Amino acid sequence: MMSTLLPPAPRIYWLESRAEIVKSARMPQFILPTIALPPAFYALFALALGPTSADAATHTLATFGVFAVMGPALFGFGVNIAAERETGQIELKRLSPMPAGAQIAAKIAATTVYCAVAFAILYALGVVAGVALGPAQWAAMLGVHFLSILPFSLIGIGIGYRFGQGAAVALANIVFLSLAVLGGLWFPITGMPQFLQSLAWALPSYHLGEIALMAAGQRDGGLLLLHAGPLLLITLAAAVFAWTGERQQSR
Amino acid sequence: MVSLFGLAPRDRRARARMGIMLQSTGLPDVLTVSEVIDLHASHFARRLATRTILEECGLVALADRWCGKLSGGEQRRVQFALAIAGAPDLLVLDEPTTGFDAEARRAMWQLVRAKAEAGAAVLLATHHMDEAEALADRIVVIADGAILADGPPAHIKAQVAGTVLKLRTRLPAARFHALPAMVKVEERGADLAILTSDPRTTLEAVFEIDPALRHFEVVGASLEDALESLVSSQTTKEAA
Repeated sequence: MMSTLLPPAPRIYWLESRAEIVKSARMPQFILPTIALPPAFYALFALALGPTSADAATHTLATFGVFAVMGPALFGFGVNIAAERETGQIELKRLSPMPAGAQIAAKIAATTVYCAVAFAILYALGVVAGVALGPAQWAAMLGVHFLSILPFSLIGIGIGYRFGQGAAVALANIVFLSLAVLGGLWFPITGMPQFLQSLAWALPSYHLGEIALMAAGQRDGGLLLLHAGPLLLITLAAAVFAWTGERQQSR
Repeated sequence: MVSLFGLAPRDRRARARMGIMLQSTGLPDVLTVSEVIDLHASHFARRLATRTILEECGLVALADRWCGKLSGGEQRRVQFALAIAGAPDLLVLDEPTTGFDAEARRAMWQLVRAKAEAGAAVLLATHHMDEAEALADRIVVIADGAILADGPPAHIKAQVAGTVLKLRTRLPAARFHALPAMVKVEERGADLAILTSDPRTTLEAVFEIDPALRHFEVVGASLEDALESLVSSQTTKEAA
């Protein structure tokens, strides 16, 4: 019965992912700014604003890799889901026999592709700015940067399912800027007032930035669990935020 | 307990036998008509070929156009195409022709009838009584969550057997509110529509009130008249 009515799931995951990527590629005005902003800022900070040390360039590259994920994840998910929900596209997909996870998986796949593009530009600029890492360090940092997609996507999903398109844009902007600045992705939080430094511990951007710095050899790797633990808890909370948002709108 | 094909309605195997056209659904603006249809059809193992769907729905000429560039009526046709893409046993249509001109409505009715004749059960929600009359084998009238009538169109009409007199009079409508054999009276635009069980008696009384009456029409009650009086008698009961 199953086999005569339902086609193999992997093919649907692939087709939905391809459609998501095609959609964004045909609307470059939406996705390009979110991909281009972090490399542009990096070029400004690490290259244009006077001669800096290779260490400073490496430090900035590690945190900017995390920053580069936030745009596509928060705007791609938050705003995109809100828009498709308002026009009823999501409801129609929900009523079709498509596997439940295919739509979210497709959007995560598309986001991963855009992030890969951003990473490639960012890393190339890093090499120009004097970043010199061993292959293992590059690989570890890339791994952390790809890992960043998950928590930020979950936050974006939660926003997209809860708010209308207009409110989602505004909220995604606020979350985007506060996570970047307060999480120490633009400049270290050590220069900030004490209470802001404490607040950073509740932000996924801060912990991902610190772990990326460890991967790039800028921090003591012995402190890994100190940041991985809170990050795991925050990611779980984000998953609940995303899941309950999805459930809430399905009623 | 509601079941669909012997399964829970949310079961994917039940949904795989059902095609749905929602009242208002957007389409991805930047995917082409054939891309959207092909993607949706890929959710169904029994899917029709994209080419077949395009041909059946008269969308061949629009196959490569972005959905965002379609007119409202063309978008509705694409949504119908999505509903039939999986060769459904049950086709659910919610107000399929809202906003259509007369020609587009008849074309849509033809598509729906073709699917019904090919063996699909069609569940259609509509506010247009002529649409129900043209398409339905069985009509369920629902008002305020209660079922008022359930049966073939002819039976429902028979429940409110009668004739409608349409008058265009210069006298105030209030003068005609107590006529013999009258079931109800209402103003329809410039006309006064009187539903009666005995047109001759009522018409004679009308001429006594307005001997100068020149413009009048005597027609059989339509399904719409029947349903309206069902709904209004229900509302009156509730008000009482």
